[in-house]
Amino acid sequence: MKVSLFITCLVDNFFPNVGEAMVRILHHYGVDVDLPESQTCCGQPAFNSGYVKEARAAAKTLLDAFDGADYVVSPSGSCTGMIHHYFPQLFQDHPIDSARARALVDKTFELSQFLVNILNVTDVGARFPHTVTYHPSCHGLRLLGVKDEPLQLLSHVQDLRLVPLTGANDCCGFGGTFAVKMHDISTAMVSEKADRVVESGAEVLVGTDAGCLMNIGGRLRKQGQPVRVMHLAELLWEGMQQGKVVSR
Amino acid sequence: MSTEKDAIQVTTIVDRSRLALQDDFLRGAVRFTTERLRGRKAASSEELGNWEAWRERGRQIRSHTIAHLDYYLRQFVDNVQAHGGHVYFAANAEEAAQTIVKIVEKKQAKLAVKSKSMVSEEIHINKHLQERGIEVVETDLGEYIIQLAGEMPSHIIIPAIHKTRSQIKDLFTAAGATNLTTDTKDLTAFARRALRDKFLRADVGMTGCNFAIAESGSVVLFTNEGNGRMVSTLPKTHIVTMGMERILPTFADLEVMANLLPRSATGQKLTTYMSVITGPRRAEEADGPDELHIVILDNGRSSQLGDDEFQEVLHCIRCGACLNVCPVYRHIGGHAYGSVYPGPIGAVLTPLLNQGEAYQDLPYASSLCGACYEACPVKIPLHDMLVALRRRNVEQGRTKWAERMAFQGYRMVFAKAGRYKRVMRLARKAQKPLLRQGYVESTMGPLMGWTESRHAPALAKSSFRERFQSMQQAWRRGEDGGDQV
Amino acid sequence: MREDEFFAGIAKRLGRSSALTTAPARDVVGAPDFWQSYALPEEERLEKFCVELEKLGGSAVVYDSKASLLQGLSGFLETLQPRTVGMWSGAFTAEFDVDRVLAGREVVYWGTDGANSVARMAQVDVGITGCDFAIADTGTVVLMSDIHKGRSVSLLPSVHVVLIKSSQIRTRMGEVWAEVLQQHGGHLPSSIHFISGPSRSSDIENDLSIGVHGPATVYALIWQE
Repeated sequence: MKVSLFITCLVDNFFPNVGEAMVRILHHYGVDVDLPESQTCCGQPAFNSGYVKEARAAAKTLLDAFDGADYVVSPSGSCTGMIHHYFPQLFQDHPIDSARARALVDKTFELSQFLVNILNVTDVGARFPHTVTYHPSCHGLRLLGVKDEPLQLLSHVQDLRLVPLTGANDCCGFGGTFAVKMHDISTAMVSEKADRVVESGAEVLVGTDAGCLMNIGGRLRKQGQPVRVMHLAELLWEGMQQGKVVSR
Repeated sequence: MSTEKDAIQVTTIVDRSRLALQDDFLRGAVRFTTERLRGRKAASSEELGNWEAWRERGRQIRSHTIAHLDYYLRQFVDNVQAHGGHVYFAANAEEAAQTIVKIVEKKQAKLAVKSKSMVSEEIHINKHLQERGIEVVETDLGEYIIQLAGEMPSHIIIPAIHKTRSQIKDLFTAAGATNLTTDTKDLTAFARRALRDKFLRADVGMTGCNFAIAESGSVVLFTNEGNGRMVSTLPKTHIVTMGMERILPTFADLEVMANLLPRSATGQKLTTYMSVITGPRRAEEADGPDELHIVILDNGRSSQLGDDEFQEVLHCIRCGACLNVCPVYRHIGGHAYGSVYPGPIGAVLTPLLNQGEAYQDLPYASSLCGACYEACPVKIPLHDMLVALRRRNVEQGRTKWAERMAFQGYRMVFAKAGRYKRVMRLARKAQKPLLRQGYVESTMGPLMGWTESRHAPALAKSSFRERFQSMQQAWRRGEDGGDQV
Repeated sequence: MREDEFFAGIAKRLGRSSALTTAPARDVVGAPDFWQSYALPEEERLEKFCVELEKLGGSAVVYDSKASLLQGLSGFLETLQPRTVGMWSGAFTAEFDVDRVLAGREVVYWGTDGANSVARMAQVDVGITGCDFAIADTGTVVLMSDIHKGRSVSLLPSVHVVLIKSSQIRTRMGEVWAEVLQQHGGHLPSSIHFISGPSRSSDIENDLSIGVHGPATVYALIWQE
């Protein structure tokens, strides 16, 4: 099986470890991974601010990059959601690109979706002896419908204690340019989210979107809170290595 | 079209929300109320079961009605007139207010009592009547409180969400109460006594309209306190103000809305009272109004018809569920929106109904998390509309020069992978002076709002794409433990 | 604004040269099928009605005969000791023989005071009405106004006593509408009130208070026929 990575600009530039963990997990399942070089960004920052032409210019790089792909897998529910929810509309006036956009929708998955629904994996054989809480990202949850997949994966991790996060489904206040343009409101939102993460008693906060994690993690660090913030891919891969050690 | 423009044009949503964020009581009250309402909605919709099927049915009914509004509104109007009701059409808020003032003056009315209605806030009818020396009394408990305080509602369903019981006690004392405690029973009892007298003396009763039934010409009101019944039963003249989109074709459709609206608003299976009013009292009846006047308001609504992106905003049934789940509303409350309709529906509806410059910043007061769409009982895609309104601002040249430049820059960088890679490489070098222990510290520029409250991560030493090739090679050599196919 | 202009504007926006005058075809009308087939057997309807009304803070008592219902009503009035009782007039009074238990009390029959009817009802402590239907699903009573069945009787007194025959109870609201439309066609009574429990508000710091404007007590006496 061959998968093309839609790495997303955030992971590419800020969180390469997430990409690395993701590749290693896919490799573990014998998936051949490639990284089409011509991709940049899904266009969401511009699109959500109302700059459609600008968004389309970036989004087009994904159409070009993934034309020949069988599967496209991404570490972000938000960026995948952008493709699923808005690409057909973004390219609707161009007959060829609109067909390409629809084809891209059909073959693009967020990582946990891909693992659970395509590879049929819910137990990656990981061990992670820590208290963990999970923040479901809004776009993954609502634009893409990623609800149970991350929880299924986490529930099979050995020795992992998942604790509930109060108001889990509430937005963390990132929202891309929102965090800059409406930073007072955004700060109020992220402060509450960070407080609730701390209240949960978790040692680790896990999520499926680098943007949200950067936001909540940035707040936790500013407050000097020792909570470790991890992408689901990082947690699973770290756990898979521990799992291997134990089973030997 | 708007008469409120002047009041708020000087401030922006950013200014107003900054003020609201400093009000700890307000934030606590809004959090408590919205959590309570959304919890009740979740419980009651779960008890009903098949909630998604109900939502879809609600959407279908509203969609069909609005797409054929000319037919159903006509049918409604004909039926109202057949029952002896009077119907008026108002293109805008001013016209609606003038129409009502004329009716009230013709009746030589001194006192008008009102039950809660968002559309009456929209046309600022109280101000118009008071200017002509007519006493107007809000009779919904929450509306009565904020009328005494001289404020606007801060929530569609619970207007006085932002008032404490001791503030309420002071307001009631100023209105003539004596020896009042802050006990809810005590406060309510005073309002009951004070307003009962008004109901019995009033010349005119004014209500909104939750739904207008085309097949019979009936006006349907959902209320809990009973003031809606008082207002529509006791005064000699009943004036209904309704948005032109309040129509439902049949009572069979009303059953669907009766299941959706109270649950979405307060988590009730049904409000205490659902009153269905068809025409004025019959000649032989000893109560009910002699005259029924219905003012049908456009005020920017018809401009949404035929618009692919925004027609659905007319599907709204004014339940307030989107407010209760909105993380932005949760932190800033209703007044910060500066408009009659707050929350996500307000951030969409207000700039649509008011075509001018005021309020065009409301669509930015959202992180686009989509919780509003998920909560909406008739599935209005509010998050998509917020994006579409931002796009409209760009198209109409309303956005700031710096922002336009920034996105032109974005386009330059992100349209071609080669340029993107070069820019990112440069940025990695450029960030070095800003780095403190692996994080970016910025005390100026657009990032300041971020770094004031959060650490900002630095660009990684090497990008993922730079690392990828070596990972691939290692894997091909079987070095990273992946099970080979 | 002129009516014709108003409608022309709507039609134009909807892409029509003039307003639609024939009924548009509909894919779906009213509640989903699973709801339309929701019908409880009579026993369960009665039980559900009582449970739902009590959840709302109302009271419901079931009697197996008219005589025992009247006895119940009499006992209730004995406890309450109202100065005055207001009541619907006409067929309802005869049907339940309510007069029998009101002897010796000051009773205001609706509509007998002409223009003064509302003012008199405003002084009444307990309002007694029948109903046209009741709805099990929501603990609701449905009251349709006419010359004998004034709206004020169920509205102005602080206690509302409603006498119900078990055969009047339907499972859900839609059944009531179907029957009302069958009975009245397009000519509905001037008002139809769906009443579910006592008047309530949570406008003061989310604290529930009962009896804000309407009755604080709703008492349903049901005659199981």
